[in-house]
Amino acid sequence: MSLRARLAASGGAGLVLPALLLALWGALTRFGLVPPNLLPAPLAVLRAFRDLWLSGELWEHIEVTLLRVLLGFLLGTAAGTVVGALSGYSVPWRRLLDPTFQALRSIPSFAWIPLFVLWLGIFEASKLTLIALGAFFPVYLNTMAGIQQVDRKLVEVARIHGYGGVALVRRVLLPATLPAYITGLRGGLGLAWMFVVAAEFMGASEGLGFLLIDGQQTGRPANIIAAVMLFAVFGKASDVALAALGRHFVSWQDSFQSAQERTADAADPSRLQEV
Amino acid sequence: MLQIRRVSKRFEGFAALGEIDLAVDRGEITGIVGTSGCGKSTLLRIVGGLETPSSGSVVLDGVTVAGPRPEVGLVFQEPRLMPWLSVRENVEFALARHPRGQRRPLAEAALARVGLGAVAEVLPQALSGGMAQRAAIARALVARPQVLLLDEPFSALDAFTRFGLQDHLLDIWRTDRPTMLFVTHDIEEALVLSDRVVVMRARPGRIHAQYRIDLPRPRPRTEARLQAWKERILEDLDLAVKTDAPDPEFAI
Ligand SMILES: Nc1ncnc2c1ncn2[C@@H]1O[C@H](COP(=O)(O)OP(=O)(O)OP(=O)(O)O)[C@@H](O)[C@H]1O
Ligand SMILES: [Mg+2]
Repeated sequence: MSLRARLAASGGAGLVLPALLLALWGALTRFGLVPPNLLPAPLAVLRAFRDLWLSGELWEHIEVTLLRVLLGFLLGTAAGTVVGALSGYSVPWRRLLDPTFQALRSIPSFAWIPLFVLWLGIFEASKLTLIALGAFFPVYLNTMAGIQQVDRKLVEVARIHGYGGVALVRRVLLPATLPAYITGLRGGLGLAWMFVVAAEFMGASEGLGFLLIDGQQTGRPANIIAAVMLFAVFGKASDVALAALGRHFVSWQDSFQSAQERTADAADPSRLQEV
Repeated sequence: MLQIRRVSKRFEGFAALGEIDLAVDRGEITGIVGTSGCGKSTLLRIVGGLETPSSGSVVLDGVTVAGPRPEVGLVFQEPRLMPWLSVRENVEFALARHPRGQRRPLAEAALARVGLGAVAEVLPQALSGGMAQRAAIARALVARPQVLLLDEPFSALDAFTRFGLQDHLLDIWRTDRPTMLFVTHDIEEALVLSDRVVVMRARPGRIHAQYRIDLPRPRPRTEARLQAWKERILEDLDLAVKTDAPDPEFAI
């Protein structure tokens, strides 16, 4: 198989555009078309990575941000799951809860920042709350919609075979809701990454978001680009991990997407090892 | 003994079932035929406890049906398999009350009997329509319910598979003697299987006629008396060929 065909078949096609951008970036800086204080050369960014790594700073920032994302995401997910399950499963609960949460959802989340800082201070509590808020809504909405959309016909099959209560939830509602739930988790994780930046903009002294702000204030654009790249890498990696976990649980799902991927897999067996 | 006592059903003002009175003896096979929309599925769902009648009641062995009961099995008009369970697990789904160790062998045997032994471990999405319906039949039969409600169980199947499964159903009936209420749009099928054929008509759904089919089984499809009954049922449904009109082919 030619290199091009193999790249295309193995999902390497997604690497073509970044490679082109990198080449363009290199060329722009190499020939002085953009001043280095606005856009440092790729090598300068690599050097920034190396310096941050050698000073031990890099890992500290990464660790802090990862921990914030993880905790905020878990908090938001826990709340979103409980409230979403209640509103999806029971009409009275939905009537009670959903209007309020829909109203809250229409408030731009960053508008909460001053209040959170006022109430919870500028340290971890307000940051985690903001990240949790970001993760909450996708999980809440997808959990609720997922439960509501469970096929009534399958529920009848369960009822005719004597399932009810916990057994009905465990054997039918849970597995039927799982695909929507995983979509919600992925959306929640994406927003957690988005909100961690906002959280770290409000007076943090460490974290990748701090690295961004610090790079701007101390005139080190290479650090900014390094931090942006790390956000891209960790954001993508965590989503891929969550998606893989999701696929493991909902491999039965017969969607258009999975059919497309199956055909792609069938075309090139080497892909199976990579995923 | 299964008694359907003056059962009616309205959906938001629309009378789906008028007043149905039907008493079925234990172990009796009753075939129900009728045009589309005359309330056959609704009647089965009420007997199965999935739907409550607007008036009247269903009494099974002296107890009024108020919800699904373990001794009543139902084959739906569509397969309705759980897409996340393998075919075998779908059949095991009906065995929740059986000891864990028995479920798998029972499910495998039930699948083998409907000719699905080879696909026991695949997911339902890989089955054809007819295979999925056979899996659903295996699921309904595996727990050997005393009352079997079947809603057009064979309509998605080709003639050969259908005949095979009709025989299978009669085998089950010979060993377990379940009371069977089965809806079909195939009058011949109703006549070959049933002790009694009930003809329903629509608006509102009601029983128009009943025939006791007192022929020994197995019954050859070509039996002359079956053909005579078939003619009468077709007339009941306004579907009889009008012999006094000229045959359209020669009517030029
Ligand atoms: N849940 C429902 N809500 C409103 N109307 C319904 C409902 N279920 C059934 N009906 C109506 O009741 C009537 C009888 O429906 P039913 O499904 O029992 O017919 P059927 O005899 O089984 O038809 P078919 O042979 O096409 O399966 C139809 O007119 C249908 O539109
Ligand atoms: Mg029907």
